[in-house]
Amino acid sequence: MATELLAPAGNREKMQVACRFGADAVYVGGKVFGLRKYADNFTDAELAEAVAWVHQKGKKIYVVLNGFAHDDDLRSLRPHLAFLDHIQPDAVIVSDWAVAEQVLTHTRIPLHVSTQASVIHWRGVQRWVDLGAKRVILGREVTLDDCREIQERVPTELEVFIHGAMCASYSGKCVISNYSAGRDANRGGCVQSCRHRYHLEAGGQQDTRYMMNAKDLMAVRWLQAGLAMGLASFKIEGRMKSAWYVANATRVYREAIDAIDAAQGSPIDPVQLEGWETQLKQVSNRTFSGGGFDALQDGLNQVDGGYQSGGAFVGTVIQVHHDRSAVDIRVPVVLGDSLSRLTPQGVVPLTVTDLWDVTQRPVTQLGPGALGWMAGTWEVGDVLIR
Amino acid sequence: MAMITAFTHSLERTQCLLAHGVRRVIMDHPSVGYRTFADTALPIDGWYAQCVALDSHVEWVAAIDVLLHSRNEAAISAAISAAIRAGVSGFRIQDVALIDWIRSETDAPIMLAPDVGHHSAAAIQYWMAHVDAQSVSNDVPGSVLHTLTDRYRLEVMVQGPILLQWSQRHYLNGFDQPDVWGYDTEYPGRRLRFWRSEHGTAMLAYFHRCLAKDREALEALGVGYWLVDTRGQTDRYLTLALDLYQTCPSPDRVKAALVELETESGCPQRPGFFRGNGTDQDRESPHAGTMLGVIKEYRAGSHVVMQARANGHTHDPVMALTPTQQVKPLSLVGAVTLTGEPVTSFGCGDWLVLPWQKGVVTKSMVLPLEIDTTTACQA
Repeated sequence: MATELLAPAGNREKMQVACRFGADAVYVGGKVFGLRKYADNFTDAELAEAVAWVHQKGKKIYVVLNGFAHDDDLRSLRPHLAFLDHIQPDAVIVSDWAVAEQVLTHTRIPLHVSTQASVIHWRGVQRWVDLGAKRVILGREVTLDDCREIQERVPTELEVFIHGAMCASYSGKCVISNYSAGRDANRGGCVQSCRHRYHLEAGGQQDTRYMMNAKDLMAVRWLQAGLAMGLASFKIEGRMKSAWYVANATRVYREAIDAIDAAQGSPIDPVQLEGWETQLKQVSNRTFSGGGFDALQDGLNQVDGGYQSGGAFVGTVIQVHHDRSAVDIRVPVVLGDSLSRLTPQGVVPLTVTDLWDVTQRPVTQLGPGALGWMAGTWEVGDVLIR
Repeated sequence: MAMITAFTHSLERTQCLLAHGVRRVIMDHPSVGYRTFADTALPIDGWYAQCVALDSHVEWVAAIDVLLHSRNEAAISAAISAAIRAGVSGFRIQDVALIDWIRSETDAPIMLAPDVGHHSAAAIQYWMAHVDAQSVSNDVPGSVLHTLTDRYRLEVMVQGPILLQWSQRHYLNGFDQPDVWGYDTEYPGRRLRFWRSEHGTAMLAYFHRCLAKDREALEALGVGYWLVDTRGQTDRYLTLALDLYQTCPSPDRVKAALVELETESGCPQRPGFFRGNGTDQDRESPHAGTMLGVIKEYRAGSHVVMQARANGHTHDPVMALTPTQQVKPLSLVGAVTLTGEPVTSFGCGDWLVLPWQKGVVTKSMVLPLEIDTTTACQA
């Protein structure tokens, strides 16, 4: 079985982008019980439509239910599970054992175990498999050797994160937000206090630093090893990230996976690896580390606040009609702007020669949040950047 | 009355607990515990054996307070074997991956630590079928525990520091001491504690959980164990804490004790979420499940653009609910597509360009007209 590339889809537009740029599967959240409460998330009608759309593309879709439930949450869970059982996504992703039991008892949907469950050893995987889980998403603390051992000991589907933000703590075991801001970190309310600056003192020593602000994960260097051991899925984090992020990360990892497959075990050219890394760094990030695949314990994996970026996200193509393309615009665009269009095949420069508003009236500029038309026969899901 | 339980990391602390009449002692060891607050320790074999030998009438519990990982597998194996040889009364674990391992080697009871993620009555109920006892998450209010039977198999933390998170990462590099105090610069008045061990870094809250003023509610719960967690605290703190819960002090004595506990620990003493957990009030609008669409943009005098988020018809009676919860009249009649074609029905994701309608602003929700909008979003 080939290793799937799994991309985040925080809303319908990002789902289309992820599939266009080469994801084999996407994961989405509904309005119930996912952990990215501030993502757009999908209404029930959108979930139903999304499942049909993704399946029609020959791809898979997983619905996230990975919060740790309080009893109030569980009241809305049963009817939601009945609805999900009706639309049949390819899996639900769960952390809470009580929720898992509900899924397995009341639906026919396969169960994936979230990284929030912090499973980092084969014994933990086995316990979930014994319950009935089809796949386990390992905690980001695992090394490649851990993955290998787990895969050998427990013949089940394993998924690992390969890109995106990382928690400071063991996933699912942080309640800083609960006490600092009254928002439950494990039910979608995390305010990321771990990324603040902290002042520290001990024994006459003092320091003020971004002590827990974890770098982002970038694991393109370890893909070949992961593919060789037969992992089921490589997952990109980021349902709250932009369509540009989704397009860029999905495109690069798609290209990397396909190139590694084609190499059939031969080492990948370091220049090619560096090229992929350079492309991944274009989108706003907190600088990168290899996470558990590299050296996690050395305390050098936090970044001093802020982001680095190689450009700006301008918008996403949402419709094409004859010689014009409609764009959902995020930053001001004016006539004459030099932009680039990101496609699965690469980056295409363009100049904004014509601009129309959504009523087809010619304009000289469009502001953030506007829809507008530009000259060009592009593809739905293409991403414009500056 | 519930049995008082306490942690120990040294023979001195153990003897102190026994002298105070504690009859259930959790033996912590730095090889398998991430916040023992111990710089040194006996080898684990000797540690368990010497504790157990002190008093055979005490329940001795071996704590394996780390997640099972390849890095610590050997240490955990040694701990399990040593505990069995010493004849412990049970195990306390935070990783459910250890359940089958321990069960394959001994019948000794297993208690789950709060870190397991059992924040609901349903989750606690689930685990009752798989383990012998559970230490309840500090997230769970007492009112939730009342819904459970078998409460005698539950432990509630009544006193002690609250864990905020722990990480495999070592982010106190540069500090010579493992015990560091600090604060989030966005909340400068809140003093946090950090502890560095071979397992990573633990972060503790700026106040201690203290249920001394909730005695009546605690006793009504009828749980089997009260945990007085004095890890990293002074002997004076331990004495004060045990006295609070082993006796029935007067309100004045409770008040005085709390002042002293705060002085000893440097942390206020509060009940935390025991009285109620108001976190994560649902910030999703109650109408999210019924909305037909969202207003994407508008230009006064010109147009309004709606993105459909459900299926519908343009003749459906609707309204707009603005981000400030104002209801505005809205009609979808006259809608056209982005390319100007008239629309009579729409599906998820479709864009509708409507004639401008006063007051309908960006991010307004489009709802069926019959919806009761007096149920406002709690955000």
